[in-house]
Amino acid sequence: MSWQAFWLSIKLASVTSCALLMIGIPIAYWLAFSKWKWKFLVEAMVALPIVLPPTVLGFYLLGSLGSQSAVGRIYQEIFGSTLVFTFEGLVIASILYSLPFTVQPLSMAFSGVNTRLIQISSLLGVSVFETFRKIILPLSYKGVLMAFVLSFAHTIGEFGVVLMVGGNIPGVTRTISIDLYDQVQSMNDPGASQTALFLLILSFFFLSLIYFIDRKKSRLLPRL
Amino acid sequence: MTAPHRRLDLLRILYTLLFPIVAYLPLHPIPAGAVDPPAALFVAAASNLRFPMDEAIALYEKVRAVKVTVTYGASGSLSAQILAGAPYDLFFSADESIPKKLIEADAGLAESYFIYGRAQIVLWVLNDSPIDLDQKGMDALLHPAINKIAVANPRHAPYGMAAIETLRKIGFLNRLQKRLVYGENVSQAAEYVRKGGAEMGIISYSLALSKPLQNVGRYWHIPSDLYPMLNQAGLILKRSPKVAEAESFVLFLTKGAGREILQKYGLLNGRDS
Amino acid sequence: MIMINPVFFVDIDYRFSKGGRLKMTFSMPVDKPSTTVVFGPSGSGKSTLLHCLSGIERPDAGVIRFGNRLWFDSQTKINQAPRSRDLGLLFQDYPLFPHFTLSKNIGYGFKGLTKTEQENHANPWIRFAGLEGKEQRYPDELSGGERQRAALAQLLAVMPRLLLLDEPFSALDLHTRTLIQGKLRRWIHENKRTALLITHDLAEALAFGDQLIILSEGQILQQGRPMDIFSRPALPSVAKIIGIENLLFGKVTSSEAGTVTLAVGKAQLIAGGSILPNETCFAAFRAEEVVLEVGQAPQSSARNRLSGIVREIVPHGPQMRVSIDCGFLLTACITLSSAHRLSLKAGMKITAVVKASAIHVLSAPNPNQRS
Repeated sequence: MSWQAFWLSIKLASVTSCALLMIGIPIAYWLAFSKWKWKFLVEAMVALPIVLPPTVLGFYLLGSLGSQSAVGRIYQEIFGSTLVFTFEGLVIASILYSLPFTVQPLSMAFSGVNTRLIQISSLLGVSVFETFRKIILPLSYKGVLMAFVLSFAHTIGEFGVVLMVGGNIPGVTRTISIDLYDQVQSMNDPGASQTALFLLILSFFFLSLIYFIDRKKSRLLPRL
Repeated sequence: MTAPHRRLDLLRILYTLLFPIVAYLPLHPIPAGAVDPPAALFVAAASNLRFPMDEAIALYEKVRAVKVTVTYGASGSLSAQILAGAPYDLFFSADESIPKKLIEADAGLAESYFIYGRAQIVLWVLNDSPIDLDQKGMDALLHPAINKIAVANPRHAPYGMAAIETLRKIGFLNRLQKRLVYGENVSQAAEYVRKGGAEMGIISYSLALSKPLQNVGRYWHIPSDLYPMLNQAGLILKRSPKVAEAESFVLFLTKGAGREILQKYGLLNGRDS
Repeated sequence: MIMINPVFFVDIDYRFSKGGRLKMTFSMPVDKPSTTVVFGPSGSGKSTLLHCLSGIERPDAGVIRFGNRLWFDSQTKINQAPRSRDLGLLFQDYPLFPHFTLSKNIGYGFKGLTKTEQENHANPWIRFAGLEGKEQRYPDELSGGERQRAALAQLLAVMPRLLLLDEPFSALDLHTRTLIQGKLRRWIHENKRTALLITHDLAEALAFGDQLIILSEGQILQQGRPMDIFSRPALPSVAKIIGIENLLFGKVTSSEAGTVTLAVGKAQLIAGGSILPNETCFAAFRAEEVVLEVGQAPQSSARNRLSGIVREIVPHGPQMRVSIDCGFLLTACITLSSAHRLSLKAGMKITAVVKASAIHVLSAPNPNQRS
């Protein structure tokens, strides 16, 4: 099993999940509390990566971020390298691909906060942002954890998009799931079984963590 | 007057911790094996070249003290990536037309175009298969024991196209169409046979000769008049900043010690070995 | 030109999604301490009223104006968020932030302060609520009554101009209730605040309200001074809501062993209760508790026998409501057949009999104390 690929996957998942929390929290807040009548369209857009085949997403990303696209060219001007086939390109692709896995748990957690408490905060004159910071967010901490773990696990398992946008370059974009694919292609059975087993155990660990956080009995309140 | 908050703050923790992680990590290199020696060469190669190329690169690296990194894939996919800006220096296709298209799209150096081998396709079965290839030849395709035949995807793998052409030419295509399963490339097609998903595969000669497969199955050369001549061509890519090094590698493969390796894998003229 | 409007003016029309409608208009002065009590059966829309006033719900039409501040106007599409309205609302279920200690809950409305500063600001309110020693407890470690007091303190701590209180003493025992009521009244008075309070406790309504609003099925049936409404309910439904038809103002002359003697007008009433002598009070009893007798009285256990003259007889479904002048007006409610048997007529002499135990004595705030 390639440790290089493993650490690359970990790095990708960490950066993606952290970035997704920063991006996802405002989006989830809006989804949880907005009353716009066309909100359902936004919800559908956010949910797209769940149902789209990864290759479709990869295809569109390659087209819109590659060196033939406006974005790709601008990036190249500024940073000197392409956006695709780099780690940064993978981060962008992973952010889009794992977006719903962050936004949905967050949004559910936010809207699950007792409305009365939010109203009370407002009645006491506290601003929208402060209400979010002191009341909504702390009481949604389980959702935040869930969002992070879910998008982390999902990013580790990514394959199609990473292959398309990343190009399987060892040390740069060859994540562990791609590495597994490579080993299968090389008909390296022992290597492939080892990697596959490792991934299996890792996924099981993440899922256990997710269900652990989600226990109904968990009365952990963020005592601040 | 606002005094500084002293209590712990969930949101603040989140943002202050996350931000450095997001900013910090990409700037730090992943623990790699050795320190990269200078002049690393990025090669993109058709999947069917996996085994010969790995060997050739190992030799080349020893001789030249240059690190060569290779990525294998279906020729069509690789060329799409090249057009989208993939950072390869060299491209080895499984056919001629794809490199030519790259030249047209101004992604490759026209003068660097070279032919490095010729592809041959074979019928391949596992050792314990009841099918006697030598006796039946092409008719083996119709053997009753066959449920599925694995080929590479003809839409983007030249070997797949050749396989389909063959079937069409001998008039078996209609009959066998339903039995075909498509691998993304020849390696995957071979994998189907190896794992028992298909009873026979049409794969590349070089793959049949490769280490994982040579003792596991039997092959039979498909007559070369049944499929169009598959010259395998390569190209130095326009974006490459290491043209000199790339040229040196090409020379190694086409005229130098690398050539013997290609020969060993049956990539050079003629059927045999 | 700035209009100085020392009035809290409310005119709202709210349609419930399941049918039903809340439509009412009233006003309260804001330039002096004033309390209005909203009294009515469940489902009459009392809580919805408070929610509309606070901005948590939006009326379908109307105007809500507090002094110079226009909080809601359906025509000009103004609808200020609760945080922009200078008010405090105590919900019927008095929720608190579960992840904050008592001290943090009460200090929550204070912004931009360090931890110690917040605690310092919260302490006087913790004392107000009688919760000293419990500062570090979490809401789930407090009893219902303690939480209700804490919620009240939480909203008072930010000194809102308008108080909206939804049954604010429901979880308190009698002793604590009296204590907190007193503190609240003093606070309203000292800070010249305006308060709107929902209750279905009669004593509370009398103790608190400068103005009483009787609400039923989303409409105001009557509004005015509590005494006026009690003594002269405009509609039978009002009387029904109030629950008592006889509310007599009097003074305790003596009190011993669970019985008090009241002087009501020229008459004397004996009732159950324990209020100190010389205290002013209300004697309240239902019309159904008044028994009418004609002629000489037999021996009876009833302690209160009042002679009077029948003034008015009004049929009321299967019953008769009889008004009797005993020096003050009494209302009795008897069956048609009984009225027949007695050959009841206006102008005839009659004796009204009430058991001492049927008379509830409610302390009336000293007229000098109220403002």
